[in-house]
Amino acid sequence: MNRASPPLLEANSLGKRFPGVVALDDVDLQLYDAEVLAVIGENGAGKSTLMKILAGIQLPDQGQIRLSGKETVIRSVEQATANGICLIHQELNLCENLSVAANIFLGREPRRFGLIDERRCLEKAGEVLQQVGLNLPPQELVGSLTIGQQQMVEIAKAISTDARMVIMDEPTSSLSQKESESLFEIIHRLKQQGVSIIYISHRLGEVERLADRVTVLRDGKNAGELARDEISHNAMVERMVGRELSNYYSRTVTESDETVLKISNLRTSANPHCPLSCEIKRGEIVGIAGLVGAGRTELLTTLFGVTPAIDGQITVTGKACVIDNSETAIRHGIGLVPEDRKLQGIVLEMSIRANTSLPTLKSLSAMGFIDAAAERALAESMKQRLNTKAPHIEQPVKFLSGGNQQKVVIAKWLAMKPNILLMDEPTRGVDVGAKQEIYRLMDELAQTGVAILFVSSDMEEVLGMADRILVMHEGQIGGELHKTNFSEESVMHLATGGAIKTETKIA
Amino acid sequence: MKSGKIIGILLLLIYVCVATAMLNDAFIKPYNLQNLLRSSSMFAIIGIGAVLVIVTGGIDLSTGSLIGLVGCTMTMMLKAFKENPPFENGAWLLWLIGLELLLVGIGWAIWDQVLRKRLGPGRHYTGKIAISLIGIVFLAISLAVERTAVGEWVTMAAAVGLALWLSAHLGLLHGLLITKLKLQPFVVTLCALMAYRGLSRYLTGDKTQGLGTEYNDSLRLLAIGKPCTATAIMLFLAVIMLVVGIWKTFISRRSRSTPAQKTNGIIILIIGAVLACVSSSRYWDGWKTQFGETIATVAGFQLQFFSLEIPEAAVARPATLMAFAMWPMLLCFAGLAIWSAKKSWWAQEKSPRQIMIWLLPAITVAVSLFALLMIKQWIGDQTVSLTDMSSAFQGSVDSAADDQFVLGINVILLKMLGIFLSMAALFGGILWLGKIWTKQAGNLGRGLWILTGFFAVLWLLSNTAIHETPVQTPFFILLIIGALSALFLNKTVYGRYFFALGNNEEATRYSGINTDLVTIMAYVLCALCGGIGAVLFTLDSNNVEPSGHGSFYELYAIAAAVLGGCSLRGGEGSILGVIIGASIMRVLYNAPDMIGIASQLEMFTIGFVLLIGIIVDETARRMAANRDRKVVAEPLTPLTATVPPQESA
Repeated sequence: MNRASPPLLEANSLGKRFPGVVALDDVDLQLYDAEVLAVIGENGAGKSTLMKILAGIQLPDQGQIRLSGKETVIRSVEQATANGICLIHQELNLCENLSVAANIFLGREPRRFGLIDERRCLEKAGEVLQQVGLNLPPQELVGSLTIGQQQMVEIAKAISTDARMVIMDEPTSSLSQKESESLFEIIHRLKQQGVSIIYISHRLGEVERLADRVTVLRDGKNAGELARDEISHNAMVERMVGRELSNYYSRTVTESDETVLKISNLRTSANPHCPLSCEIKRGEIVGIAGLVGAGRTELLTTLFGVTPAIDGQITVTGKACVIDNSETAIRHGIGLVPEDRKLQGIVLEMSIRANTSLPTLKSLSAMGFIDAAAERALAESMKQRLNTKAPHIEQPVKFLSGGNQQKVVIAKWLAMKPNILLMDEPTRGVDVGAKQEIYRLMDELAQTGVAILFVSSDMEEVLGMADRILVMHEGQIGGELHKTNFSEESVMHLATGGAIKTETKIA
Repeated sequence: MKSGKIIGILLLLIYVCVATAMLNDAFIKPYNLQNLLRSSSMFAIIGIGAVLVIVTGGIDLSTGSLIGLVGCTMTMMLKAFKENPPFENGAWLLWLIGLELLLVGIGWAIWDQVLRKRLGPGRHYTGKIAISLIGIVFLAISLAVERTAVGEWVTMAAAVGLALWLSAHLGLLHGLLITKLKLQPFVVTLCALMAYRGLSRYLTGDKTQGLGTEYNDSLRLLAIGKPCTATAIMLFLAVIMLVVGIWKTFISRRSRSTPAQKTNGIIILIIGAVLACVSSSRYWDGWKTQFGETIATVAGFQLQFFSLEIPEAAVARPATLMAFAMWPMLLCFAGLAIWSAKKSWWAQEKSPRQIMIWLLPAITVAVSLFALLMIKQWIGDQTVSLTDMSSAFQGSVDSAADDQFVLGINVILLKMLGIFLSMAALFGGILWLGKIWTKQAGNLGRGLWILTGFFAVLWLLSNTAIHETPVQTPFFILLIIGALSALFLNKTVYGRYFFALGNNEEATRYSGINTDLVTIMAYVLCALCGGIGAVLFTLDSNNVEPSGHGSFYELYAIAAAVLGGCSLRGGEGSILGVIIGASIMRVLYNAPDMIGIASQLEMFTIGFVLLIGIIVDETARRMAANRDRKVVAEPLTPLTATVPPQESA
């Protein structure tokens, strides 16, 4: 790192306001040659806005940006690309109906006589794919790839523009542990090639491993900078929330012998050859770990009736039942906090009130007419109980931050007083503060007797919250870990198909 | 649904009406208004069907052909019941329909209770019981008819019943194809559009089906009956507005009600009061009931519409009131101008933009005052009294006014008033759209526009012989269907599901809602609205041409829904909006004819005006979004040149 020369990118006192919100207030940022700069902060701290400004999607209201010491106004994405800045969005922006190669060169297709030069396109795409370590034929349709592979395609796309600065917005949020590992490798390789990386993540463990420097944002302002040797989990959290977090994972185990949910030889439509069996007791929190694509989400959606089971038995509180749609699942007291919040969890245009009452609307009505007062009371009490941050319950949920949206999704299910709560990635895209609140809530629910079955790709979360871990591998439950033998290694070992070493496991 | 958008299209409707009426006062003659009201009502009914489907994110293109097919079937059935002995009086059909409904209701309940019992507790039976009860009612009617044989109204009820039954089942078919076979709504209803048209041509042998004069005094009254005049409707409306206004302002003490809601209550109250004065003024000399047309003779008892006779002296009264109302209106404008001046001139920095905002209403007021002064000058020594003015207004209606002098003032006054109105409206419109400039300009413009709109309504009212304008039965059918569907959409569980489904189908399904059932429901209700429309259109035109009856009506319905604020992406829409939208469509259809534009151009006019409207709406929205960005950017401090010194590593 050559600090004598001017930084590759330098932003001075950037400011950006939206109606009613100051998104960025006097924010400084420097990025030097060949370094990994992590930008962290809670949701709404201004990370995304800052990145959008750097990538030319938005113009700052004040402040200036210098590229290699030269003042530049980045007005458009094209201009940012021309200056070697490339942003990889958190949500993937790929055309699923096109091939990998076509996606990589979208808008910059190599041409020959005005037509697309298919061969050169494939060749160059192959090279770039090699570079990111993705062994795929470039003709493959993007729609047929896993989310992790699609993420790699995005990175390949960035590299193919000869970017000197790559901004990654929560790249690992949808990746499995293994895929994340290969992403980290690529980041190292890019660094060696002299590319600077701005890395945004909520997963502080990753930041600790990767970052050369950390810039912390809080409420749209700089909240501190950490050099390589200062980076630690606690130091980062402290700066992000402005105080020290005690008991990040809070779990008080209550023992019970009553089995609430028992599945035997359940076969999901996604993995019809793998019969699944397990039991969950009252007030227990069970985590499901495993790689993306191991069939974890499918298990939950099958239990919730969205993708009905092919075969097998589900027993809820001792009674065998058929769950062939979500309506019946709800009647048996099962709720699901789905994986994709915006697609499956909430109706974006509707208010907090309407979203909260959606599954329980029939019980809030008389002769088909909605009891407006009861509905409001429910939404209001849920808002208070979950500490949802919004001016009022009539606020459309699209204006809420990720964490608060997730609270609305959870509120939906609390309203029906569930026996069993299924949660798929309960804290994905949720900031530290809200995360802690969700953990507290899960513990609280478990203590009142709710059985919680949750899927998570965040290893820390699984180890911290679960009483018991089921590890899935290629559609099967590869093993079961009890609190006494929790460790990152044993989870990874099972998730990648290893056999269970310890004999003490099953009680 | 934003109330702003509804006010916008309502004002658009008013201005189109005022402009057309100014260019040709035949537009507001009772005969034309009566036709406009009738056709608007019928199109609004099928428009409501379109809204119900569009809200769930679907589309129904088959409405027009369905109207053709159902119309043909209904006329054929009427004939068949009459002529063929085995089909005599058609009571058997009611019996069949009743049986089907009863079986569906009971069967559904049994299915839930017995066969799917292991699925768990918590079923709701309201819907099933309701379906069964309707079935029992139908059965009871048909059995009663068998016993007593009370005449031909049973035949007619059976034919109408068949029409509605058929359309509901066609809707069910659409819904099943869309949900169970996962076909796209556009494709399914497009196929239906072509299939039904062909079917109706085949069934009738492509011969026009006529009803003749036989049903003029019975069934056809559903479409062309004249239960009362527009005055009565307006009085009714005024009473409702007064009640709602009083409820909102004084009685309802919801802790949540915001200042804006309180203001809305006051506005409704004021409008209601004015409407009540203007419409009731004609009755101040006392009520006198009079029996009108005979609807039907049931079991020897004559059912008759009744109307009110209006004393001669009371006819001109609304115009007088209107003349009184004009002065406070002008004062309002002046007040508004001063208020805006205070806001934007003294309180703010003086940019050219702010000056413009201040100047425009001032110019409007100045010009209109000047116009009034000019009139005074014109008349010379003669002072214009309020009675003169009222008779002047009345003059445009009452062409038999023999006083030349009054007629002279009438023309000048009308012209001046026209200038004033259009200028105020134009400035108001520019300013409203001028949200592009500042928020204040937008509010000011909206206020100006609403005030001129109110003024325009008063002008229209005083120029229209509302006491001579009959309101026909379709309007009342529309009122019932509109009220029911608005209740359904906004107050019931399934209405909420409609919106949720349109916004995010996946999330709705993940909330444990039977989205298939909701979708099917939407298509059945849409087809049912189409069926009701079909009955009315058939009875209105009295003969059905199989190849052309109802063609393109689905597009009118969809256009009315879109104009009324529906988003084709789903999840957005309102019943009041579509009713206003349908009225605009009909007025646009009628206006070119009135103004003297070639009638071949009428479709062009509709398309063109709609396009302009959508462009303005979209552009204004985007510009307002830009303005928001700029306005908040303004107060920030200018860029700083100081750069903090770089720390060395």
